[in-house]
Amino acid sequence: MNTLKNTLDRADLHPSRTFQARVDGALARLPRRSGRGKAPFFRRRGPLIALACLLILAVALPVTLNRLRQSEMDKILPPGVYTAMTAGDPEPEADAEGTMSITAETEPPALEPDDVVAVDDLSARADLPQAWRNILLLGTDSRDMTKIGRSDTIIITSVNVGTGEIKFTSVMRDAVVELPRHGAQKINSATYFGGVELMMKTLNENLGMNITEFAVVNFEGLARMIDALGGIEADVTQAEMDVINRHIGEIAQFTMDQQAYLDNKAKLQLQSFGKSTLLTGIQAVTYARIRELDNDYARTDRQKAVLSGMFARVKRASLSQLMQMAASCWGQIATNVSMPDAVNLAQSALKGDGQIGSTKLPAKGTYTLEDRAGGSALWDVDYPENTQLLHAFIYGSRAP
Amino acid sequence: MQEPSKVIPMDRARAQETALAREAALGDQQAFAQLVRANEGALYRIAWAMLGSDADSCDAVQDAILRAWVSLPGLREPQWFRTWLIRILINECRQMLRRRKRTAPMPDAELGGPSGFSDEALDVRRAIRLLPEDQRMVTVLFYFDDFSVEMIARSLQMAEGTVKSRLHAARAKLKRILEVDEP
Repeated sequence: MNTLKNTLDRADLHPSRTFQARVDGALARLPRRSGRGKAPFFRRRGPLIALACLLILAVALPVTLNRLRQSEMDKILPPGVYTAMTAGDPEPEADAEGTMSITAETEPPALEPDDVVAVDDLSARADLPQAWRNILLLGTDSRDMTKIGRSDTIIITSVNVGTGEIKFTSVMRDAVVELPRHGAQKINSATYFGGVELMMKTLNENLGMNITEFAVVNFEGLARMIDALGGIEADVTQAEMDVINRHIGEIAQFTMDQQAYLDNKAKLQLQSFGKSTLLTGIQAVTYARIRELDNDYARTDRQKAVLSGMFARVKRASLSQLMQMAASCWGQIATNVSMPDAVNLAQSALKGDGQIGSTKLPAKGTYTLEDRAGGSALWDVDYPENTQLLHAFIYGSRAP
Repeated sequence: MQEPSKVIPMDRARAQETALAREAALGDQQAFAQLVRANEGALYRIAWAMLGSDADSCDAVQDAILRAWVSLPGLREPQWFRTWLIRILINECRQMLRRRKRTAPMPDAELGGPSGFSDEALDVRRAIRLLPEDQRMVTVLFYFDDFSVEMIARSLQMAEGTVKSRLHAARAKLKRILEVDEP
């Protein structure tokens, strides 16, 4: 058949040998590129939103009963081991000169090789419903994401890949667990002795979980995300404004040096309060961490306010804002969730209606809060009972 | 007469290409190489359509591959990797044409490759070369690379309607030159 296509085919327009050789040559000489492609992932808007929200939630939902001062912590942990990792509790420290009231950053002492717990099996349960993916979210105030130290916030995030439902379970960092080679320790020291892996293993063993994935974000990442979104709106009382301004230096240290903070102190501070007050990143993070005014429940409400403020912004954000957000906080996020996985996960999460369930463990009445060895902690936690409660919360039925 | 149009569904091959593009964007050189080789024909033909010479096509493609690799992390839509790669090549070719204009005007571009083309092949090539550049590009992508109108539109950054009218004009002209009496 003498069609145009057949006729054109006779042009024999196929890559010549020379051409193929040049292509091969070019491919063989590609410069090395870092394994991490930020842009393509983050430019896909949906996944970005979901991942950002997950990470936001990781830091902004630290529901914990811990009211211990650092001095008390020092007593229960090996002396000197504890570092600025629990700077999570804004305490009035601002001095008259208005210098930054932050604990000097001290490196945790390097562990002796014998003290490091190597983890080669995460003890993940294999028989849990596959519809739910459980991911460990850790919040840290560490600047260096390769050194998480003790995690400030421990949250098990459960995403239903079918329905997009999300559930958060905050694990109180003062819950005492048995760690290999170190005996009874607060659970947040698991990351110190054996990294994120030991934390996942410990949670899996004590709560019958199947966690193999994690994401870690620090305050700088959270503050930058919020700034990239153009800030968030929240209802702020005068008392809250005062506390924010008193403690803003603690968060500011994560995004700028001391001189920059001092030079800009007045600008950084919150100037007004009331309904729908616009908060910058560091203001919002400081706000979410206030607890000296009232109690944990009020703090939880503030965290939720920051979250919903972020959700509202993310929904309205332009693509360029989201990209900026992704780029600005990338260095403050560490995760082992692969890109394709994150994409799938995020797409699942986006299917949901945005309703988020949350709980905290150990549950009331399943532990004793007492001073022992000179420090307060949650002792004698009934882990089998908490396992039952956790499974009921996530799966809607008690653990088999 | 109805304009030709093809619909390429998001079939498995396309899905695989998308997956490879994602991997490549993350730094996987092998995935990238696989993608480039899979599109070698289209790259060659586009370069030839624009530059007319084998040697220049080689240079342009070589530069385009490097540029694509470097800017791959910025690939927004991995499902459109192929059209993105072609756009990069087109830019390289345009630069080459500009440089060429600045230096010495080239004699009529050679039509064949290095050697060994039949008279008939040369005739058809010459016919394609007689088309204006945009019609030429539309033609090679449509007839040789089975691109859909949508994909051509994306590759050449023109409206689908423009692609169709260019194709229409090119067909008419080619039929006249090549004396094809297709209905």
